[in-house]
Amino acid sequence: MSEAQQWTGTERRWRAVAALLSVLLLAALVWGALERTERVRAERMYTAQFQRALFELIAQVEQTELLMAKSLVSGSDPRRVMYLTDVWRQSFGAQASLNQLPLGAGALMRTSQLLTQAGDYAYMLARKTARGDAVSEDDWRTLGELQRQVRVIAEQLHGVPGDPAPRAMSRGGLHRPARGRLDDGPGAFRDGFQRLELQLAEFPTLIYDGPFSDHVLQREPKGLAGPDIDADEARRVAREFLPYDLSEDDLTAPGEVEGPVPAFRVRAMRRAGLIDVDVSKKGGHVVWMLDARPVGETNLSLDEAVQKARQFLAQRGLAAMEPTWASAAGHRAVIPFAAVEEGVVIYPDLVKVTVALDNGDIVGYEAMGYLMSHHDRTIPRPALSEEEARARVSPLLSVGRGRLALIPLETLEEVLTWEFPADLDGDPYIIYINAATGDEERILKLLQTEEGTLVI
Amino acid sequence: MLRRILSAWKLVTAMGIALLLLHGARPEHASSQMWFGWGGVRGDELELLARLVAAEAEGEPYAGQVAVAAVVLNRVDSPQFPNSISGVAYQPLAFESVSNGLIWRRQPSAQAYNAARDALNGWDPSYGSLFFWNPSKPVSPWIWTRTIVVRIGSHVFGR
Repeated sequence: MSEAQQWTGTERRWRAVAALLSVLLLAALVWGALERTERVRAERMYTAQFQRALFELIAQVEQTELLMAKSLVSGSDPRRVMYLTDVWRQSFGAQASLNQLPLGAGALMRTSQLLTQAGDYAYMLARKTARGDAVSEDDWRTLGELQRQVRVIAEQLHGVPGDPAPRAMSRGGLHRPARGRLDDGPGAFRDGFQRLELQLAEFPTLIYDGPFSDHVLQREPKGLAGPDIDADEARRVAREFLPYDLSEDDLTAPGEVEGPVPAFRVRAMRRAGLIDVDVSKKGGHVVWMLDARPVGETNLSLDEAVQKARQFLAQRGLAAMEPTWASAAGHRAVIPFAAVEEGVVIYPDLVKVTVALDNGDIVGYEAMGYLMSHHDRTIPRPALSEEEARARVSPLLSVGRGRLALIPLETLEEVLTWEFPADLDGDPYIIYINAATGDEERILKLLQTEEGTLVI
Repeated sequence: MLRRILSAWKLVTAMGIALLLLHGARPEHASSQMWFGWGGVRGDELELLARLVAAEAEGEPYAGQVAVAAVVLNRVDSPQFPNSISGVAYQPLAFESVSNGLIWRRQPSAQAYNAARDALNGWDPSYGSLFFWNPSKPVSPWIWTRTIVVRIGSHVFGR
């Protein structure tokens, strides 16, 4: 009796365990199914986003090509300007759609560049035509060449799997741990774009009057005068440049830069922190300096910081420079200085100085702008007087005293302008009037940001 | 001559709206940035940049942090990449920290903000680089076809 009871007791216990296990299994299955539904739903949502981008891309590329063709054959200038501005709009849209595809940052560079340049080129032609300037045979030939390239994109896009491979697109593309800036995109879909990139690699350099022209993208420094130096010389330059009492042992030259401005990287050890200084191999110019020390609470005013920065530059033989504005954030002030020659502010020749607002130390310096553009210039005489130029400024503005300024255009061309500070209902502007033609070259609106921009 | 000016003028007034729109839509480009810095950047863009720096360049030397922020801005300036800070940061598969969510888990330090600000003000220790990678981690062989510009800390910067 007692033995049978015991046996039933064990059986009962086993049954309970089995029942519990089946309930758990069922729960796990239900949970798994729900999770899977959620996952599939999320995947479809992502895929839909990418499909939308792809469909929009195809439509926009086709539109771009069509509008380019129409602007080539159009016989009426106003129509043509309309087509050309539409090319600009469609191609920029296409570039944006292209960059939403899950192919990684490196996989689409040529295609992206071609779309940007096609739009930029069309914009330049639209501007020329609207101004009534002559558009040359060469310009139209280049536009025709660009149109053929855009057609290559359109044709290749049609070759991309018609149903843009949702499986390949979602799983591999999204859930593989993406290796940063690499091009680990999904298979067949990606191959189509890879072929496209290769096909477009043949296109020659494109030089024209716009910001994405190859001559702007690949410019060379003009301001690197002097003989080549070695690493020891670079350490000496850095030691003299830094405003601290450093022994030779405090400085090392741990690396080199192979960029547009080849340089030695010099590192100075201070108790307060490391300072990095890049010294150009040609001429031994300081390209930039960054002091990594933490900065304490603000004790200096912005005016005092500007004085410190001015002093720093003057001691390094850069006295003929004027501060252009100043801003303070994170207990540091950044003050750009522009060169001044014969009373003209040379904005392309710019250096920037960072002042720590706790004790006035110079914790940053940047001279890339200066080194890229400084050269011996003959500054033209202004054809317009200050009064004549002032008359060109919008009558809505109350205008302050003007001064002459050389400013860089998007094409790196430099123009002499009259610079006027102006004001509309308390909103500050700076207006630039071309001193030769009287054209309004540029309007800057000064923004009071959270970073506390102050204009000098 | 006068007729040409007049017809140009008529065209400009006819196209006035389109051209105005164009000017509004067109981002002020490199020259004005080179010249006045990216002074007009919005607070949320600064934060996004600082978050990318914190997530991608934690523990790197300060110059390396500025260089990572500069790579983002170099991409914005390049015709080969999206045209805005958010466009570059969120480009699919562009940054590991965006894919794995690290960018939202880590609160940027004061130093990361300063690195973002220095890059916005024009400091570029990467000299125009468009890529950076850590050679001690598994990377696609493709990345080594880029021209290497400089090595800072554990990152290689290239174009």
